[in-house]
Amino acid sequence: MSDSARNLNQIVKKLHEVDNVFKFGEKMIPVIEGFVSFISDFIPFVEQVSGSIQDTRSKIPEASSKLDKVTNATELAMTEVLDKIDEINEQLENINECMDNLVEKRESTAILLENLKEKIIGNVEANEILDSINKNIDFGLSLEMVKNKIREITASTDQITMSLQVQDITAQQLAAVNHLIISVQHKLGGLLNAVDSANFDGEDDLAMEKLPDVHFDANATYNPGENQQGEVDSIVSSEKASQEEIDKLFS
Amino acid sequence: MERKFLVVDDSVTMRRIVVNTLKTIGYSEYVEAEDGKDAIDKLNTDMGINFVITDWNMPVMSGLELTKAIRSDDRTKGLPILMVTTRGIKEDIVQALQAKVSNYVVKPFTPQILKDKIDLILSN
Repeated sequence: MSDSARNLNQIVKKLHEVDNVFKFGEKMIPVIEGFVSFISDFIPFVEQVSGSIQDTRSKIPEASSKLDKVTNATELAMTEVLDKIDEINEQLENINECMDNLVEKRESTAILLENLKEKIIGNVEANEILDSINKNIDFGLSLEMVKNKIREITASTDQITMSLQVQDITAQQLAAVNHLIISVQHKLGGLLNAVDSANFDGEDDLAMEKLPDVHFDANATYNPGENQQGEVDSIVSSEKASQEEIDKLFS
Repeated sequence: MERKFLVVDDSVTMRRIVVNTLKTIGYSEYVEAEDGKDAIDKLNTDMGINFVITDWNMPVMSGLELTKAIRSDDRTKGLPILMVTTRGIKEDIVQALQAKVSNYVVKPFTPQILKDKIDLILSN
């Protein structure tokens, strides 16, 4: 075959290919039209989603601020409770002091009565009165009961004080939630930028709240019944022992 | 020797609880700080402080950073430091011990636990 015939064959082949492309194009036109129509329908939806995201995002600072207010309010309330506990403890201390004074006075009165007894030997009537007085001032048992009650109340106030540590733990949990929702705000901001940055009204909208520093324990839990300290102590002991072994090796 | 405690915690409630516990167990001298940086300032101005009780999670400067700062300063490196925190997992405890805390208490604690740890540190 000559070169010109070979070239003609190639041209015919290419024309067939072009023809196939046109035929494929014809088939694709309805698909493309459908796609364009879909996109046209989709744009309002995207705008709606964008609006919802922006709306949600704008509410986050308020939610975050409310969480902070909850933490502050509970801290204030806890301070008031601790003030009351201090007052109760102070009063209990005063009662204890009064009790001690009472015991001292009873003891000195008992000594005086004993002296008196020696001076009224033989006087039956006076001795009977003395016995009655002795019985009246024998309130040792009642004193002990009151002291026991004071100890019980003190133990209860100690328990309340311990339970109030829950405030610090919940404050850390709230801080963790706060951090999470501000992170969501940042993510939504990024999403909005990607969807349609023109939807932002101005610079203020773009200025997202800065992610707060992490100064909370997200895993903080209140488990007063568990022997958590015992577990901590055993870790501390074993770690300190290991460190001592290492120190010995290097000394 | 008269003990003067530096109680470091960003929570007012926790500072109050620690201070009340200290009073209950017989220690009445204390200074409060709301974060690690505030604690450093207090240590620089009050030479009478000879025991530090610190939380871990605090803004500005954490208890762990405070511990490292205290241990790296010749004037304060010998101070007893008791870490009182919610962080109870082994990795955290090891990290605190590596920073040279004297002992470690997990919240919530009882007055007895705090007393035992203070006594233990002082006896060493």
